[in-house]
Amino acid sequence: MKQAPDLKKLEELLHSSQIVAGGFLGTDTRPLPEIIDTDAATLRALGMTTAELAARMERVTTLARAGQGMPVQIAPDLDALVEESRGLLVCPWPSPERFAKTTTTLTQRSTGATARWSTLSVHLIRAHGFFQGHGSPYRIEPPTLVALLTTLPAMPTTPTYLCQVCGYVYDPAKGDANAAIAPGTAFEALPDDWRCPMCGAPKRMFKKRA
Amino acid sequence: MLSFLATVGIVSAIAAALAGVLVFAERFISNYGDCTVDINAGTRTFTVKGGKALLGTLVEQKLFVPSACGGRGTCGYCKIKIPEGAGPLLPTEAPFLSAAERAANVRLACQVKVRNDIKIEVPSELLSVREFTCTVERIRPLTHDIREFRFRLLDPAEISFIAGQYVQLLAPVYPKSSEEVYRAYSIASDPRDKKAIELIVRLVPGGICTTYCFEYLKEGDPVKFNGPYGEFRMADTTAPMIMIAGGSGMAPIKCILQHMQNIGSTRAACYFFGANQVGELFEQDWMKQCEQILPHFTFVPVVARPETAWHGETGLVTQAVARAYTDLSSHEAYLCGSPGMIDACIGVLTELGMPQQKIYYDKFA
Repeated sequence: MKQAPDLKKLEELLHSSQIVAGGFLGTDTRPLPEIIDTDAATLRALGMTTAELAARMERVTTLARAGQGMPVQIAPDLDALVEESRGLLVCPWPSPERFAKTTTTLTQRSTGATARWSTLSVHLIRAHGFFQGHGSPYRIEPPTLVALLTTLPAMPTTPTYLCQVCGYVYDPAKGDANAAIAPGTAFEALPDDWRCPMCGAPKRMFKKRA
Repeated sequence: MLSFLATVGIVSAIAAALAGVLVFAERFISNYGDCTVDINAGTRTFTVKGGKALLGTLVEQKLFVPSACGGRGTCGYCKIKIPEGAGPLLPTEAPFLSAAERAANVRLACQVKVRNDIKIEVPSELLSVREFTCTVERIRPLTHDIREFRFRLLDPAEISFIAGQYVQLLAPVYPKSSEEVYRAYSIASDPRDKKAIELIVRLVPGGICTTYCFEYLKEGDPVKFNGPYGEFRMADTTAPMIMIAGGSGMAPIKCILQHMQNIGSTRAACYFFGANQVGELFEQDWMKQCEQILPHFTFVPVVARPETAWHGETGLVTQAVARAYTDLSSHEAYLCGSPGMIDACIGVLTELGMPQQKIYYDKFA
């Protein structure tokens, strides 16, 4: 575990409700290093890194944010919902960043398995290997998270385009069957009068996604 | 045995003497004398006896620099620019400040001690922020998770604010929270009603302040808030307006609409209110009445997935806006909602020709 300047002070802060109601440690009585090391060992056994996990969680959030508060089907078996509240949270370690109160809930349709995270909890996983204590409202068990995120489809190699009106994503690799657009058709190659298959918005309403 | 006791006695005496030296030093030697605090290049100055942290010094002068941890250096909220007199950067501040902030002389007010004359820069609105004590006059449910809170002011007895501004409400220590926290809420009430304010608050699951408001606050209870804050307000033009806000985001829009009624505005305005379901709509009667009072105001509720019979607009607000307009080059937009919704709206509005600088949104997060 990356050494915090004062472990005792950090543990007290994590137990308290100063940053979030209920704190980050739930009912867990284990010392912080033990919580972190145990989860790290589990993660190693699953062959995943915190960096890869965090990157996928952030991709889910980006995909689902276009739903403007409605659930989005981000893969055949995965639904995600992003809810946002106002205000910013700080990292208890600490760090200079501020974290938006954006909560993402990912659900697997076939099994009902679900995981929920916030921008802060993603940072805590990536920067500090901290999945939070047992009983904390935002703790996710690493095996659950890994299982859900391994079914996330790989990033498309050609950029996709987002309809800013309704959140529909045009993926050149898939094309648009309804409009007889073959898979592999670049967005630029779509006819000028092509419209969003979901909401009918014109081509200029689409934004390229990084 | 005797030499052991003698050793203990001597060590204790030395420790006591050292403690005495420290007390003496603190009382007589670390006296920093009078220090002048200069705010915003002389806009306001005051003189204090040095030695205390800047945050506490400013709060004593009724300058409410935001803080969420009571000055303990754990929240990072109290960042202010200190061009002169702050002394070297402390290790307790460093983790909260990015490289860009450090280059701009941003410091943590709770960690910097006033030891000499000091020059600071704060947002100008901070100089007119007051702390208000009031009492809960009425709590009105609007939906299953949104309530309107009306607070009657006690001291000061009146507030002056511009429609669109917000206040920082104090949630005290209560069984689910061990710290005082401040949370921002836009004022929803009529700016002409100076003796009270109304807030529209949505219960956030696990939210410290909203849980306090919903589960503990009762009519007659005392309440404190600081304000008013914020630059979100109606621009002084005659351009037609589009307003987009759902849920508790209605608060500053409702406030602006009341201001428009007060001044007899004839500006064209269309308010798109987005909700996921019909059950999330509220204040529809108030909006219909507003349509009667303001000659060119239209209220357009937009329900994403109606769960019951619904004859109005459906889908997302962005879809409703895209259906309604082809050219927004002469319009202004006022947005209040989640960052995701705001981003989507900005994308659509700019594509429809609205200049980016005519899109106003509530940024207090």
